[in-house]
Amino acid sequence: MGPLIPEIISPEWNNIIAIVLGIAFGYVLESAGFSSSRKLVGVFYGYDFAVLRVFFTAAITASIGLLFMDYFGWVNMAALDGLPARVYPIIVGGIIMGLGFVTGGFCPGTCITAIGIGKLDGYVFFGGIILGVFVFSEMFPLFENFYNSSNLGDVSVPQYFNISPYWFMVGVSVIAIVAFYVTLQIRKRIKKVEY
Amino acid sequence: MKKRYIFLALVPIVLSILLALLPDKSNSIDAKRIAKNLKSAKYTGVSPDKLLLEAVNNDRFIQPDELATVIMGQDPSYMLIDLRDAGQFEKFTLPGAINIPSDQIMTEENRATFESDAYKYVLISNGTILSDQVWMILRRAGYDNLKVLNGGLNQFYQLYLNPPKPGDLDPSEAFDNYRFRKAVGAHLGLPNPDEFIPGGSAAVVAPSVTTETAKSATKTPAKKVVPVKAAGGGDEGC
Repeated sequence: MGPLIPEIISPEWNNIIAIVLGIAFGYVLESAGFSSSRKLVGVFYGYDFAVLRVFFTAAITASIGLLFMDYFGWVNMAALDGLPARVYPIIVGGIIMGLGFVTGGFCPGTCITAIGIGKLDGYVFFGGIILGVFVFSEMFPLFENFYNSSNLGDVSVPQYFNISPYWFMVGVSVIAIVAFYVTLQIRKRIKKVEY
Repeated sequence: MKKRYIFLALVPIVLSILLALLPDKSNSIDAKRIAKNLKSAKYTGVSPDKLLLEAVNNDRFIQPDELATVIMGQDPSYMLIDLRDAGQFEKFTLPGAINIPSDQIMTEENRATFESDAYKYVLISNGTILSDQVWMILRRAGYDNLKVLNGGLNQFYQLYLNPPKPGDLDPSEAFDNYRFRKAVGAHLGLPNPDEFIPGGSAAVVAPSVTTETAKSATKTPAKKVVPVKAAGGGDEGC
């Protein structure tokens, strides 16, 4: 991974760091108001774009940070394993995930946050997740072929299109800022929703 | 719009442009991308330090006696890969061996041979050097279950053509070993020096061991290993 791991931080710290990061992540989610399903689904109805902003900001911050660390040799990006890009299964999975998000009002992480502050709908949603996981696992042989189809391997977008990851990053940052601006304008025009 | 927003919006854009304008560096992501491409081509199956560790110990070797047992028992879990060129392969090889010349080892078709987990692949050449080189290439490419015939065909042939006779004081295992090697020799169709050469095995000139580079010295028509006359030097081609 580079000098940060394992030379400065030894692998024995993995679990401890994971717990600290997890708690910090939960804390940030909760303080951003992500334990409220009404705030979360606001992005679909156009009255609150906090989800889009927070996650887009997180994505570009993390990417730029990683690219810089990789550039300075602190982190070896080639050693980071991504999930294989299975194009069509991911599209279908995304649609299912989106439907679950808009109807349930949570995504898996935020539902745990909601449970953390004792929300009943969080519990119900979590039960749904467990049920979904169970049904998926039991039915897996039925769609195993589709699940493994159109596999491009472990590639990133810049790798696939053979462009510089840095310029790609510039593009993503610009898109993010434009998205922030556009959503700000949309929110100004839409009637405020009290929740 | 608040000034703070504008500032915050500018930060990622400026940072990412900065990143794009930085001079290329050896540990930059481009270099890593090349490494990653190699990885996706299965070139980094084994990390260099692990490979080094494997290269200095002798686990990869299969001893001639071990291989002889495999051949005699027609063990289907072993695949014998003869790495010499087709000409030498034609002249002599071990029973059941297939020919993949060492310079064609990484062609698509030949690599597919090594994909199966069901086989142990025994790499065979005249000596150990060529097999070791191929072992290293394949190992680095991530292939498993590779064995190198220790001493190569030269030693194998020598061991079974003319097994060292145990002395009178040697333990009985040595005699068993000797008989086993004789039997293997007979099984492989190797000549038995005791039988047809006046003066017994002492009269058989030990076949000269050739190096990998001296392959051209072939003169034995040894495909079905015809008894070589006492002139010796019979197995240069093996």
